[in-house]
Amino acid sequence: METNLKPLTQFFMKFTSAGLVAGTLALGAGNAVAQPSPGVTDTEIKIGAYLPLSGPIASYGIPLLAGMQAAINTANEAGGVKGRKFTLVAEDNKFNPQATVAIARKLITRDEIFAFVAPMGTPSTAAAMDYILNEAKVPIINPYAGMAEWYNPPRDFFYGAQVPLESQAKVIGRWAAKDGHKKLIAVHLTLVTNERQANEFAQAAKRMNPDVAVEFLSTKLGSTDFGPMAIEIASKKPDAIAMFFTQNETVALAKELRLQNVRIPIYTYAGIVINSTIDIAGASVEGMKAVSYIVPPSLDTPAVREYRTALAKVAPNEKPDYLSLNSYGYMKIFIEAVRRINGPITRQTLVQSMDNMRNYDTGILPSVTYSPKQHMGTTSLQRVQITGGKWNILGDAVDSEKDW
Amino acid sequence: MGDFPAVVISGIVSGSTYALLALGIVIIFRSTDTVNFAIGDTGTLAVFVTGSLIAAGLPIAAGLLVAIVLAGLMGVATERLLIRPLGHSRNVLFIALVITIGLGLLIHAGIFLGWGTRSRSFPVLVPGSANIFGIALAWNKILAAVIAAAAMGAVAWFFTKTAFGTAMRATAEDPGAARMIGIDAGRVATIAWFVGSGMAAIAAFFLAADTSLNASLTISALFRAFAGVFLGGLTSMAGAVIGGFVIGVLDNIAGRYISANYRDTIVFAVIVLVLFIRPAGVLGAGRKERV
Repeated sequence: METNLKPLTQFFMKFTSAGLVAGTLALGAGNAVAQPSPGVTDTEIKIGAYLPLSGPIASYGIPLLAGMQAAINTANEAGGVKGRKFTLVAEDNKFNPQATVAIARKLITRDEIFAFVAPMGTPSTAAAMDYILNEAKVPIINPYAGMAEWYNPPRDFFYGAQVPLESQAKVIGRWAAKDGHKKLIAVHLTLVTNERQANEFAQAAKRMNPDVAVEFLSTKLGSTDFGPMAIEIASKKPDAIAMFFTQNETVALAKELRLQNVRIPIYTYAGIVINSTIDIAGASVEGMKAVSYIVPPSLDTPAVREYRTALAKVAPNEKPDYLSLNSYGYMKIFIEAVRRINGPITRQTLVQSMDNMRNYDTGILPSVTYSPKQHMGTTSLQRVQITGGKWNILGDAVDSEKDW
Repeated sequence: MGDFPAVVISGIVSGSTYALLALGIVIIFRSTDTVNFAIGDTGTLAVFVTGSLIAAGLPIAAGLLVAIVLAGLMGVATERLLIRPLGHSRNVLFIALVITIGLGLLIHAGIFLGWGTRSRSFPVLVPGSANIFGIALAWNKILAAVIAAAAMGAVAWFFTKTAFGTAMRATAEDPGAARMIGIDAGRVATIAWFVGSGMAAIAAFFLAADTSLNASLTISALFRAFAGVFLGGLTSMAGAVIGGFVIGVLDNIAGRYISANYRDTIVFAVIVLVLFIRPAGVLGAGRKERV
C-alpha cells in the first residue's frame, strides 16, 4: 500500500519553518534586552578606585577612602539603589603613576568594575586615563585630581567635580595681586602638575597687575630640610609667597620661614586645606590663605551631619576633615547619577545620566551641573583663611573661570 | 656669599641627624655584617610610642630616654629573632639586608595601623632660636647637634677605652679569633644593635620636632645617612660621623647656592667622585683577602 507522503512533508516543512521563525524571534528578543554591564548584577554595583594607601601620600589616600566608604555605607543602609548595593574595590597605588596603570588593568579585567569613582592623584590619573577611557571605555567619575586640559575638550566617560589645580592657581594668583603684592615667590614641587600651578599663578597675577614680578623656587617631593630655601626666601624679601607642595612640605617650609622671622602672607591651594595642617604647623600657618572645594566639615547642616555620623561608623579613628568630606561628596554625586538612570544600568546609561545632571546640590560641594559639553561639574571655589587656629571662610565663592 | 658661614653652620646642625643615623648603621654593620635598612623605621616607631606617652603626661626629656631604650630593645629583638637565626651561611649578608627592608615596611604599616596616616606635631625640648651669623637656628636643633656630639663621644670612649668596647672592635675585626679568646659574639651583637638603634631614636626624636611626626619621618635623612656612610666608609665609625656632617653641609650649600631641586643630585655626584677615587670611603678600610 502506498503512503501519501505529501501531507506529511508539508506538515514537516511548516513545522520546521515555524520553529525557525520562533527561534529567530526568541534570539532577537534576547538581544533586545541590554547585555549586563561589567560590575553590575541584580544585587551589586562594583566600583573601583586607586589611591595611595601607603607611603608619604597615604595621609591623603586613607581619609579619602574613608569618606568614599562612608557614602557607600549610607546608601547601602538605605537599601542601595535600584535594589543593588555598592561594593568598592580600592587598590594602593602608592601615588606611583606607573603602578596605577597596572592597577587600573587589574580592576578592569580581573575585578570587572563598573566605573572608577573618586580615585586619587593627578599624575596617576594622567598616566592611566588613556587606557581606562580610550581602550577599556570605563567611566572615571569625580577623581580627586584635576588638570584643565582634561575638560577642554570634554573627554568621553570622564567627569569631574574638582576644580583643576591650574584653575586654583589662577584664582590664587589673581588674589595675591588683588591684595596688592607685587614681588612674589612661587615655590613648587618638581612634579609637572605643581610646576604648571606655579606658572598659572604667575600668569594670573601678572594679568591682574602687569607690575607684578614672580620668581620660582622648586624642590623634590619628600623634602624635609627647608633651611636653605627659607634663608634664600628671606634674602629675597618678597611681599608674599605661594606654595604648591603637599602638606608635609608646606608645613616644613612654613615652620622654617617663621623661624627665620619671614612673616609674609602665604597663599596655597585646596589640597592643603586640611585641619591637620593647623595641628602640625600651629602659629606658622596663622593667616595662610587658600581656596577650598567644599564647606567646612564642622558645619551643622543635615548633609554634613550625615557625613559625620557615617564616618564615625566606618572609620572611628578618622576625625571629620576636608579630605573625607570631599570624597563623600564626590561619591554622593555618583550614587545620585546611578539613581537617576532610566532603564538598565550600563556604562552608557551612567554617562547619559551624568550628562543630564543639573544643579545637583550635595550640601557639601557647590551645586554641580554636567552636560555633554561640560564634564566639569563646578568651577566655584571658596576662599578660606586660617584665623584663630581654624580654617574660616573669607568672602564669597569665586568662579575660577572668570575674572572675579 | 654673605650668608655662607650661616649656611655651613646650619648644615652642620642638620648633618648631626645624618651622622647619628650613619653611626648607628656602622655600629650594627661592624658587629654583625648587617646593613640595617630598618634602622630609621625603628627609631620612628620608638618616637611614635614616646609621642603618645608625652601626650599622656610624660616629660619631654624623659621621653627622649624612653625613645632610646625602646628603640634599643627593638633593635635587640630584631637581631635575636631575625638576624641571628640566619647563622653564617654564604648569602647571609644579602638575606639579612632583605629582611631589614621587609621589617622597615612592616613597621611602616604598623605605624599606620596604630596611629593613622596623619602627620602630627611633636614637642620641642627647648623652644626658641638663636641668631648665628645672621640666621636663626632653632635651639632644639642646636641641642640635637650637641646631644649627637655627646652621644658620638660616648660611643667613641666606649669602643676605645672600655674592655667590652675593645672586645666589640675585636669581634668586628675577626669574629673567629674573638670567639677563640672567649669573647661572646652574641652579647657583642646585642649591645651593638641596642646602641645603633638608640642612635636612630635620638635622630628621629629631633627630626620629629623639626618637621612633624609621620611614618616617613626618617626616609630622607636615612638616604643622606647612607651617603655619609659611603663617603666616610662602611667600616669606620669616625668616617660615618664625619661623612654625615659633610653631607649635611654639602646638602645645604647645594640647596642655597645652586638649587633646592638638585640637592640630592649634587650630593651624590660628590659621593660618586669620592668613591671613584677611594672605593672604601675616605676613612674606610680596604677589603683584605683571607688566606
